[in-house]
Amino acid sequence: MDLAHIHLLLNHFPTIGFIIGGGLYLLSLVANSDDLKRASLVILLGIALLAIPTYMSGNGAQDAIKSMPGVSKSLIEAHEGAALVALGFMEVTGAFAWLALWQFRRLTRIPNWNLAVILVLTLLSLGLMTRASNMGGEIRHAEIRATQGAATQAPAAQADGLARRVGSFITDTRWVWPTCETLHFIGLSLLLGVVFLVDLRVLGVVRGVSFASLHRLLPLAAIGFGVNVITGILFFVGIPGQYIHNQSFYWKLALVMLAGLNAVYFTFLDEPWSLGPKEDASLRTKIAAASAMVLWIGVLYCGSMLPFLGNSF
Amino acid sequence: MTLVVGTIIVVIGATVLIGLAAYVLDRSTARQERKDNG
Repeated sequence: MDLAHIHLLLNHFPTIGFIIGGGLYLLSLVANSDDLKRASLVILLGIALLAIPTYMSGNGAQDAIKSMPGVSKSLIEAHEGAALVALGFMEVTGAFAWLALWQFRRLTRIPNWNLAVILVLTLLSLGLMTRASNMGGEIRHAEIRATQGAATQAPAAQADGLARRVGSFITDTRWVWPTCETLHFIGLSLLLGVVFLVDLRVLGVVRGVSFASLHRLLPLAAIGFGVNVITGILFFVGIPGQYIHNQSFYWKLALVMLAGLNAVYFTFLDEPWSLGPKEDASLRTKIAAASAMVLWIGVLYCGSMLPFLGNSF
Repeated sequence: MTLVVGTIIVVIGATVLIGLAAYVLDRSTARQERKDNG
């Protein structure tokens, strides 16, 4: 199995997942059900995470088919650019969905302004992702191409899609890459600083601190994760070639997804956060906390090994 | 823009924005919490 297989496996999830998550979210607003709201927000957050490997595996699929007869470079790059815009909107939607879940635990309700923001972002993301999916389908399905002749014969000058223009800006502007590297480490410090604090408390360290007080720190971890998603995507868009053949990168991405799943456990379930000072967490929560630490150390390790195991940089 | 000046300006700007976003979120949520609890 290579990245082309993974892209084919994943590429329907963002569109269909947002239809299901968005539909459930609309239903939750009509029925005014908090449980439905939280369930739909978890779906939107999960799909936003899954959209990252979906986008990145697309470059592997591009690599596999770009030399095939009848495959248009301009269609591929148009799809790549549309997918990048849709990915951006999906990640922002996921961020507000996470914020709503955090607000619900703290305030026992989600502020109306955030409910409205999520609704608008979900609809926009769904529209943009549907457009990107359709453009992806046109690459190998001539029967659905609206402008088959024009697209396949686009001049080379027009073939540079949005993603390639962003990529050129990242690699050709001297200060962009080192700035993103610095911000990537700042994001990492924020994320792991908070995550390890929460996990160590679950495991019995600083037992005098209540989970409720640690809950207040979670937005710092979320902002750190957001910074790392943005800078990570920029690195990838800059030079996709050094990641799509890199085993260390595959492992890093897989571990980030698992760590994200682990974070959803701590965001969604009530048990860890209902415990006061001196109270012990359940064995299940302790296992989740220990596995989070292992997963994030794995992410760090794979990120550090990118140049050594996969010949990046 | 030179490499050093460019990186320092953008990193400081982004860090200030991150801190500001976290501070505003924390304060506004705490205020809302106090309001909800009467």
